[in-house]
Amino acid sequence: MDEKILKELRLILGNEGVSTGQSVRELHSHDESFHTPVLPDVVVFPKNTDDVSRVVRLAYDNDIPITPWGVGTSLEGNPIPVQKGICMDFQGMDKVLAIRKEDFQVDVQVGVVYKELNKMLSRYGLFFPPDPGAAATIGGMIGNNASGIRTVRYGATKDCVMKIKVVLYNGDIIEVGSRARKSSSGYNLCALFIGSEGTLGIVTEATLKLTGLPIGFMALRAVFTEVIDATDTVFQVMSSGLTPAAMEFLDGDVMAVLNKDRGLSLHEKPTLLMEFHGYSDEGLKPELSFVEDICRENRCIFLDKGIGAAERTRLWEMRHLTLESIKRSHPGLMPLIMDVAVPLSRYSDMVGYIKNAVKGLTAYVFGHAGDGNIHVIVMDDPKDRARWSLVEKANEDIVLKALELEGTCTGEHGVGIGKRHFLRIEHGEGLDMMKKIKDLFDPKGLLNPGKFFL
Amino acid sequence: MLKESIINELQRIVGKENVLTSPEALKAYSYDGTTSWIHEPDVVVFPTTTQQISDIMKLANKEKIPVTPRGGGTNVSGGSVPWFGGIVLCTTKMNKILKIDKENLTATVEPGVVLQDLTLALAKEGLFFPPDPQSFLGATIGGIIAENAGGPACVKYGVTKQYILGIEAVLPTGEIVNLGGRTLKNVVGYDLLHIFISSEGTLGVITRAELKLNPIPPAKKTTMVVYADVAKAGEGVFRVLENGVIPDKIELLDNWVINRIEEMMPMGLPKDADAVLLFECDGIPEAVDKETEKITEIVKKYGAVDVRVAKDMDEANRYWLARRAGFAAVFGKAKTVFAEDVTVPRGKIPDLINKCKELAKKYNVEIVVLGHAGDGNLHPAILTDITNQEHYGRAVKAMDEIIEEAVALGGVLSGEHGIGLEKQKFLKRQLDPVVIDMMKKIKALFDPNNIMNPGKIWE
Repeated sequence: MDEKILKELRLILGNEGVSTGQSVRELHSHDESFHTPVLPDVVVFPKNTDDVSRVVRLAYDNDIPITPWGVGTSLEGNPIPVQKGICMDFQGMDKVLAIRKEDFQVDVQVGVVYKELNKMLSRYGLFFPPDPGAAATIGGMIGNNASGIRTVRYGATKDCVMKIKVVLYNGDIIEVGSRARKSSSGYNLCALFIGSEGTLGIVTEATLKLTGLPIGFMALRAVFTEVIDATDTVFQVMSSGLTPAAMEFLDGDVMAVLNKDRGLSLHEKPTLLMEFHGYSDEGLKPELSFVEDICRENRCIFLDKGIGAAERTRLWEMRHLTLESIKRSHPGLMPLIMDVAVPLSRYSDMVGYIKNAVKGLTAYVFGHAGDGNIHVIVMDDPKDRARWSLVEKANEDIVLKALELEGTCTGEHGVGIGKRHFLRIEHGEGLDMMKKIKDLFDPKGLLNPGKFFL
Repeated sequence: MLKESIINELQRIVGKENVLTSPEALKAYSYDGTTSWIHEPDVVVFPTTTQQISDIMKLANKEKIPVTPRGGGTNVSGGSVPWFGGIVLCTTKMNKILKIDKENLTATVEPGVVLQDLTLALAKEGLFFPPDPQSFLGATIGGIIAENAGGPACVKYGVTKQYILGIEAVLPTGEIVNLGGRTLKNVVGYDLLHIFISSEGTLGVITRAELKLNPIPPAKKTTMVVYADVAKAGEGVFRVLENGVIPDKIELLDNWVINRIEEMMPMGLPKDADAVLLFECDGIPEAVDKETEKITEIVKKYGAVDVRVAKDMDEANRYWLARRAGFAAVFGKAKTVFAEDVTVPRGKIPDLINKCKELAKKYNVEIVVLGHAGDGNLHPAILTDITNQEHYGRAVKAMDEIIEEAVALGGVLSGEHGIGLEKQKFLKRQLDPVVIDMMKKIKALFDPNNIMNPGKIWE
């Protein structure tokens, strides 16, 4: 990169805010996916929105690509700086700006890690519900519209972000959304930026909608012989008027990996993990017996259950870090992660199709069943062309099947690099509209280039 | 006036019986739920298929004729008024419920389905669509989506945009697009669906919608809480919520509204109360009882003077009928009513109410407050008379100050009614010029000839 540009960056951010060191650039060359790493020319560390604005303006004037970076926990190559240029790391923007307990809101800079935020908010009896699991930052979660196991009750990131500050392509700073819980004024630009993966503008601050921490907890682990019995249980619970706070499906193979990796001895069969929140532990008793009845009617062969926070922790412990357990069990291999979502009634068809499509591969099926979201992790070696092409073929088949079942190619991981070629199939003419919007917000094509569009 | 040949072409597209040009018809489609703005169209058409709408849009785009989509016309900010004449495209004949999917908890509907009809059809299946604008007897799904409508139940269930999984829409250039999908999660590409929701028919015509439904909760319980100070009632709202109880409705009526309702239909409301809050909890019976007990405990602690838990459905229905009568009570009492729709963060409700009281004194006008307190969405109404210039002038000043205060408190100028014609001059105060510019450019992308509901949202 031009020394003159580096000098200007140092002028804006100070020497400590600009790095061209090999190891720093390497750290910012990949996320947690198999996509080919690309090193940025320089990594910058802004401290506030003004810094971001000045760097973006400089990049715009000099035609330099710019890719925002949270902590790189994404799964589709979303923050890989494929056209090099500037990688903008938000770790220096990790301040909580204001907590408004009475409004159930918090203002943050986007470098805040959501787990840290929730630790702090717990003192106020509040939490920010989306929980992608990894150590994601709020900025990354907004970029990908992340969700997690609690989304079935509390919504995805989009549902919990009220207002954002965004730096546009030319350095202009705008605020979109509002702190009110409802709005019908003007176009919903806030929704447009959320999930746009940094391709339309760079989000620097956000007002988040919080929820009161639940007081009562109830959890169940239900084991079934057939996938269809588990998914029937999901519909019936979802349509009974109960509102589960989490509803996870894990196939038998996943249970087997967890047993081996963690020294557990759980049933290695299709399993549902459920969690319910309530006003008190006591108040959840009738719900528990109701859910138990539904499980038994669907030929559940084993049921572990409990009421209270300690029981919830016990039952859920094994679900955390599933991806890490799978990776650990296959050293030397890389994961291809699928993230299809389908309407609820198609869930068992989809799981059935997937199991057939991945025969002969090392594949694991699990997901947020309450949302119709299924993850398939295939472990293999991207360098072994013959093997990897089988993996890619399975990916292609599974996504096309999901679309045929009126589903989507990605429920929560985003498009990034990996899902670009499915956009035309899924959106048809809608994709042309998206491209026009991209051109409008990023006329020079410098914001996280190489993503979304082929 | 449109050329004869255009009318003929429209008749060819939708059939002669679905094109109206009589003076009476044009008058009937010249105003919305408020009658504050009136402008006649040149023609009213009633398409029955998406393809017909596409053909109409292609024709209008080629001839540069304004098109204003319209559902039941119950909106309250001028959004469906054909401000530049041209075609009113009325979707009320596309009123079929195409599918109710119990397994997926979704419904597929045409845009002209009236909310009440949908509610009745869903109830048979034990389901409901949570957004509940109080115009449900006439409001159509298309209009509800276009305005991102809300209602009392939003405090627990959220607004319309949270219940729309996908739509089919015809763009101003005639292309038919599908936005969103049928899944509960979807992060593929830009969220054009949410750009369409609350765009007030300025980006295209919604021709089909996939709705997310909820099962009807088995039990409900209503509680009326009486206050001697309306600002205390405002505080009661967030005290209940911060204690972890989420009722499905929290509504506020002030002293003036209570008394007008009692005059219209005596139902035993406390006439000397400064305000009442109506709470409704829903869920399984045991939980509803527990939540109601907790509400009683909290509101007593924070200044309520009386708490009445409705003992049966009859009593509960009476209270909610009173709430629905609120708007009629207000509109019946004055020649002109400014019905505001400001929404503030919930913690600021008492501040906004106190400001209204102060302004009522300052400008010597009657300002009444009723609304969806649980969302911070209040509908302060100013009673005035447009024929009395001096009084009207004071009312306008008071209204401007209410909106300014709401924005200063971190709120928005429209929570659920939309911008339409009514709030254009205030949009600038809330939004940065760069943001408005971005919105206008998006509008131009979708609608290069500016034929789609022109004159709305921006001055």
